[in-house]
Amino acid sequence: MKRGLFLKYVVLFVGLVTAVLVINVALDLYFVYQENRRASIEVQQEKAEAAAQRIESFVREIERQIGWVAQAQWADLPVDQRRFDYVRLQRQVPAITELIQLDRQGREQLKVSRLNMDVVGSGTDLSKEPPFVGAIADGVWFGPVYFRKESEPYMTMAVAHGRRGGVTVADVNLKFIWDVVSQIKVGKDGYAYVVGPQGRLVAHPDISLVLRGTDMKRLPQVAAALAAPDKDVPVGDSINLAGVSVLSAHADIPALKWLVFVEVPTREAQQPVINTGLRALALLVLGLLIAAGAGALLARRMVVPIRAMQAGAERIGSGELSHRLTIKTGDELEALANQFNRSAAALEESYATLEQRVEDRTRELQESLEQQTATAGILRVISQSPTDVEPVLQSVADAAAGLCRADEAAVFLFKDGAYRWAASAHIASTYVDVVKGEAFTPGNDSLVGRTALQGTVVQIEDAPNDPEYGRRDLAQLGGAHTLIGIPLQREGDTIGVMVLTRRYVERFSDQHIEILKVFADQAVIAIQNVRLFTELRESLEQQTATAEVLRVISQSPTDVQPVLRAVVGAARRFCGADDAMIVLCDNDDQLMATHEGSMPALVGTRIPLDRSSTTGRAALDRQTIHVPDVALLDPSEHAQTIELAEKTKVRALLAAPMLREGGAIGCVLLRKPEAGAFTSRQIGLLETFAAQAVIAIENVRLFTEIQEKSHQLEVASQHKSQFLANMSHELRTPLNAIIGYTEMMADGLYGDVPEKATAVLERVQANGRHLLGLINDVLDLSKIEAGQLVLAMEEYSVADMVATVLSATESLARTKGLTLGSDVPAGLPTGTGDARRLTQVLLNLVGNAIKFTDRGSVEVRAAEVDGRFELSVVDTGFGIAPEDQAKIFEEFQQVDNTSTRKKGGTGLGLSISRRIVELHGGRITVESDVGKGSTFKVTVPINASAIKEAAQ
Amino acid sequence: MRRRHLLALAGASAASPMLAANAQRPLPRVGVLMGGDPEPTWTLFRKAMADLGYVEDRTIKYEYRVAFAGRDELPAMAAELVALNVDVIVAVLTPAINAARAATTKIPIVFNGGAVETGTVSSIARPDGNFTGVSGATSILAGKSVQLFHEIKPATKALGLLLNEPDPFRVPLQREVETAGKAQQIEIVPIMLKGRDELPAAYEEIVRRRLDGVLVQPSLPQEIAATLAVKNRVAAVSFRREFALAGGLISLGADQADICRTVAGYVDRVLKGARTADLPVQQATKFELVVNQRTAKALGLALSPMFLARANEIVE
Repeated sequence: MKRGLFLKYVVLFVGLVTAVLVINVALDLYFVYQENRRASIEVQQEKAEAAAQRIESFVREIERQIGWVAQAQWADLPVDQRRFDYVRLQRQVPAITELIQLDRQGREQLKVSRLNMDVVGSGTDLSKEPPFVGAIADGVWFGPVYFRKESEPYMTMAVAHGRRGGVTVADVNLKFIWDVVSQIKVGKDGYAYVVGPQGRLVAHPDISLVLRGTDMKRLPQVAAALAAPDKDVPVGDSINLAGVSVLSAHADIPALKWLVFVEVPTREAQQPVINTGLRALALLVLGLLIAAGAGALLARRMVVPIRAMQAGAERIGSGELSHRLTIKTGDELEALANQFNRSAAALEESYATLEQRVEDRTRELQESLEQQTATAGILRVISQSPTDVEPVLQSVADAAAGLCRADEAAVFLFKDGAYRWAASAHIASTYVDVVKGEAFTPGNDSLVGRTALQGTVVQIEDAPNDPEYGRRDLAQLGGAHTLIGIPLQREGDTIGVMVLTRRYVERFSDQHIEILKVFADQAVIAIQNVRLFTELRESLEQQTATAEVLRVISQSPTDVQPVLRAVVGAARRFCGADDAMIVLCDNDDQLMATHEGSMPALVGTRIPLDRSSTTGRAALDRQTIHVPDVALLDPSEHAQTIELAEKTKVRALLAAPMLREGGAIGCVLLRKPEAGAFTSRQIGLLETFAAQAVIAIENVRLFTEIQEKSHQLEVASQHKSQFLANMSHELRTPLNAIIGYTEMMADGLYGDVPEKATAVLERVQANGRHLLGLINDVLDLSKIEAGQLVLAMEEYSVADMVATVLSATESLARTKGLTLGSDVPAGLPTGTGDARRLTQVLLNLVGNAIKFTDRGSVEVRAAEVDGRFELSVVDTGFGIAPEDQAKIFEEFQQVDNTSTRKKGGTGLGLSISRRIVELHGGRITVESDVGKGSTFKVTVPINASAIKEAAQ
Repeated sequence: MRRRHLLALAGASAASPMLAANAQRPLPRVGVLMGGDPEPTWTLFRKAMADLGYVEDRTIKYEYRVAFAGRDELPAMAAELVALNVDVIVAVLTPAINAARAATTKIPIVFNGGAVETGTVSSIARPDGNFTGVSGATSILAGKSVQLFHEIKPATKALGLLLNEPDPFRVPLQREVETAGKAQQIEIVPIMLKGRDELPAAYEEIVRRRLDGVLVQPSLPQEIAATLAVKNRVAAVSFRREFALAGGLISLGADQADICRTVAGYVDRVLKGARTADLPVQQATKFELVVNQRTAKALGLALSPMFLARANEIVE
């Protein structure tokens, strides 16, 4: 603003003056230019005329000089005299380089040259030449300009010696015109030049241009003048050889047909205009300076008071509200300054009010902050004490009293049917002791009661003087006057009351009531938290206890004692009694089985089982018996109970029966030294423990039974296997004898055997062998069952094994017309296992396949898959139904149908095979479609030794 | 404050360009190569330059080389001037002109001598390359001189011609002189000199052979030749004013002062940036005939008034 206004004024002023001056100067310049142009053109034209005159006079002077000599009688003078005159003429006129005297007949009489040798009387006939003809005709003849060696301009001129005389022909070196041309002054930088009729330069101040034979026709002014020699070509702007703009004018010399040009640079010609322009410019600058000065002065007068105002406004703006402007200009500015002053005064006033309001607001903010801090404090306490409600209530009471300017504060909670003291602040301990003893019930007499009854905030303005207030004694004891009660509510129930008292009379404001409600809510939240937390913890503990008992049950399947101890321990911990025991029923007695607790008990003692004891009653009635106070029992009904209770100082009892199949096997008993009811939760829990005890006892019983039975079974099984082994051995020995002798008989060792007998022998032999196979199988099986089969580990080749099996079964297959093939890839690794047993397995499978296949083929395939041999026997036989596939590997199982029965067999082969393969750590499986064939697949580890160890 | 600033600005702009122009520019240098008598050409040239406003060692510097007798020094001198990288070379007389031409095709050469006659100028109006100057038309004047000599001494039968062998100009000179001799029925006796030391012997020969006179090539030492002519009582003709002043009978030649003015004018234009191709070769226009009346009397020659009327200068 400082610069802006000032500048604007000045610019405006200068602008105005400039505009006026510029218009003035422009008009002036225009007219000066026009005037000057006209004047220059006139001057130029005059100069051109003058120049032409001077050039012409140069030539005319030569002519005149020649004329002195060329008298009519001169030709008659002696030759020496004539030579002398010519020499003298040459000396007088340096431009003449050669003079020739022609006689009347046009014959050369004398030639005098400046450079060449003189010639006297050569008599050369030049009568037909233009110089002679021209001079005779006109008296004077001017030849055209010619250039010697294409460079130096020359002109021939001839002057006649009167009518009767001859002619003098002179060669003139036109370079000498330079003396004239260079003398012609045209302004400062102007010049004149002469152009011949062909446009070639004849004379120029720069002689080199002439000598170079410069063609001037290329200049527009020269071309125009040559094109129209007669017309008065107007003087005008043009350019010269150097490309400079010139003002050009010309005049011609008719006698010589020369044009004389005068040129002056346009710039020079227009110098007066430029000077005028400069003067105008100077005037303009002067005008501007004056305008600027005047503008500045005027602007200053405006700006100074404005600046003063600005400075004043700045001071006021920076807070100096008492500052006042003093401007005495007597115009609008002064009025504006006064306005400023009034505004400042108004500001000053409102500022004071504002301060008061800010103070008020600050105080409010302070209070609000305190509340928030207190609330935050309470929340912190809540979060820090999840299990204990007391600290929270304590801090609530403390904060409430502090914030609401109360002298005392106390919180009462509903407990055991009445509102009782829970926490307090600022109350004397003696008074607290009094209050602690109070149990307020909902009603109108006490503040707590009244608040609980109404479920809203209740305020008593002056308790000692309130006729409706029933507990004036308490108020007087505490010296309280104004009381307020705030209900702590949860889901509509008033679970407590917070009370604040003042020892003077002043109602609690609405704002305080709001704060107190918030505190009350927080207290409720804290109580809720604690309750929830406690419930959660108890529930967790119960579950832990139940789980503990179950764990013990599972860990001790054979012994009931640990379980009973666990049950007793859990009952003590969770059922609200310090003493627990288990009593078991034993016929007509009760046996004290387990006990834990501080009260006397005799484990192992018996008491009669009847309804006079609590335990007996529970067992017989098969229901839980709860005795909150032994003293209240009927002695006729509970004689034993009362007697035992007196002996052991028991006041309360709880007995839960341990029930099984409708009868009780005992019960769990809880005892307390003081009277008091057990909660329903405690009762439920005890019943659960009792049930667990039953399960444990039952478990142990069942377990023991199973163990005994399985032991018996095992012994029986061993006996069977032993028997089978023995039997087989005993059977095999005589059978070998039968077969051996039969063979020998058939071979004729005992003489010839009749043909009929031979057939019988063969049948005996065949049946014997079959029986031997059977026995061998049974023996193998029994060995396996008895754990007596030991694998003989050795290295084997699968290929050899397959070859062995195929050669053994080849004839059999051929007999049945089956194709027997194998697919064993080369390079299979050497395996480790019981080669003989594995061969037996493979033989069994191939045998079975041939046996149960009537058409097609049987093929043995071997492969190595994941470190195992996979041996498959594939046939195209009857196949095995899916429901039979599992059974065929069991002992003595054969797919029972007519076709199999025909094939015979013990039904032990596959069973044995399975056992052998399993001993190798492998598996045997079957895949089959009925009618299409079967594939038996044996998978054994290539290196079976480790598996075998594990199998044993 | 702004006002002061403006004034300072105006003052500075008015003063500075001139100061700057003078301070920076190195002095232009003109190489001058003389192929014969240095005077009066050397003095006249410097005077002409001075008339054009050049002040030696202040606005111009001259590198002056002259070869009086040993003409074989000229190529080395020319090379030296080229090595100095002078702005322009002024070559006087044919040996110097040829040496300068051989030394450079870059540095402009302004000659003063017979370059046109010796055929080194291709076009007078538009000379080639870096070469222009002023031609003295000496060979043509030589014919005129023979005629003048015949006028003075009509009985002349044989005329000696002293030629400077190393100077190529001798060829057109001899040709012109012999042409003129034939026209006047005068026998021309050329005597070839290899150096100025042979001058005395040459004069002895002229005397011995009873020749009527002698014509001296301008590149030979003019004053010595004139002095020897006086000493041997030989009517001698040459082309320089100095020759006649020193005792030679007559001299006919171009006005050296005029030529030097033209040469200086060309040097000036070259220094100001003109190209030599734009400067046509000029022909001398002013010629002067100087007659030594004293020598004529000593030789017993009567000079007619008409002859004397021709003379520009008569030495009494």
